[in-house]
Amino acid sequence: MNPSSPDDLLRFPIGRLQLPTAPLTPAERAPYLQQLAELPAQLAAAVAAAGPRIELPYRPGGWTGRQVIHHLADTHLNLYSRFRLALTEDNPTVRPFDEAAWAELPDVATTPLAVSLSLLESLHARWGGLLQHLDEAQWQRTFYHPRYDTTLRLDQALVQYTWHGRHHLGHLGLLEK
Amino acid sequence: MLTPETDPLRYPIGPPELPTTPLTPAGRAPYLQQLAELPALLTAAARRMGGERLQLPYRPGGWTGRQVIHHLADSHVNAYVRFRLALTEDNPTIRPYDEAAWAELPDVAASPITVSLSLLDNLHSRWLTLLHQLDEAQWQRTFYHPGTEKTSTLEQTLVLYAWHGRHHLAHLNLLAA
Repeated sequence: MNPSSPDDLLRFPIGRLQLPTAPLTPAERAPYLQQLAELPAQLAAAVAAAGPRIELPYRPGGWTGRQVIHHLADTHLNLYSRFRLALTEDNPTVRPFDEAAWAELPDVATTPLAVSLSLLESLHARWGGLLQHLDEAQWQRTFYHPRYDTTLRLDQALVQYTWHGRHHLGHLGLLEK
Repeated sequence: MLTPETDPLRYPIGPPELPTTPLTPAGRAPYLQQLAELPALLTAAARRMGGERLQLPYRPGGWTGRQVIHHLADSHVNAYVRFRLALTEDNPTIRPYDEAAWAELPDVAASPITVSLSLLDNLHSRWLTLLHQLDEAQWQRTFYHPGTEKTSTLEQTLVLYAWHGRHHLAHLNLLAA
């Protein structure tokens, strides 16, 4: 697909992920840590700005804003666990999940968005509390993702997961207009 | 001589008793209620305990009250993930984790317990909303735990985690007494 096609702009409102190859310095990690800390409040603001449009898909055939919020809670629970696995096992294989099927489970249509927004706020506080205490050697620990057949360092995972939050925040922004 | 399971400090409410035949909706109801009530009971126990006793182990060599609360958040995050995996894949193999090592990660000593209490409150809301919509066939869906080499139905897992919450609540109540 043409990377600048209209559909691509809706799917990837902040562009595609650029993963660093060289280890990040503390100063290079800092903006990502800040973005991760800021995400829950930004999501709550985006939900408020979208109003009733939160029940609409952000692009034709895409998830509704509601599904995006509950997906973020589910995904970040898994990502938080991957950090803990990598810090307590040597290059562990993490457990992928079927994000499309999870977003169709019945609680997604019925749970108030405030539940997943508060869940994300608490989870990111706990996660940020963990990340603040990592030393340089811990940032270079890795895990293996069997679906993508890739090994990621924790500093790369920080960049990827920060992108994931801003990527979906970009989708919610499409619903505000 | 006391075995771990008969030691009243380790197992103040005894070991879990898992059902071997399918439960009726009425049979599941008390376990759903216990799971729903847990976050508020944990918050009340933490309040009775106060800051200083939270730093004490509930038995010689055991976790501190603080570790118990953060462990419950981590454990129930994983349990919630296992339910979703079992509902979206056929008898999936779930990912065990090293609960002792997780409880020694540095955020456990540094994160306010209110963070994990709030996380549990919202996680249990989302989890219970899911559980209240499961049909009889879904309650009999299973997952495989490679650590214990056991296949469990979702309703057996409901009983296990209702017990797990009350088990650790009883540990906190030893500190709050």
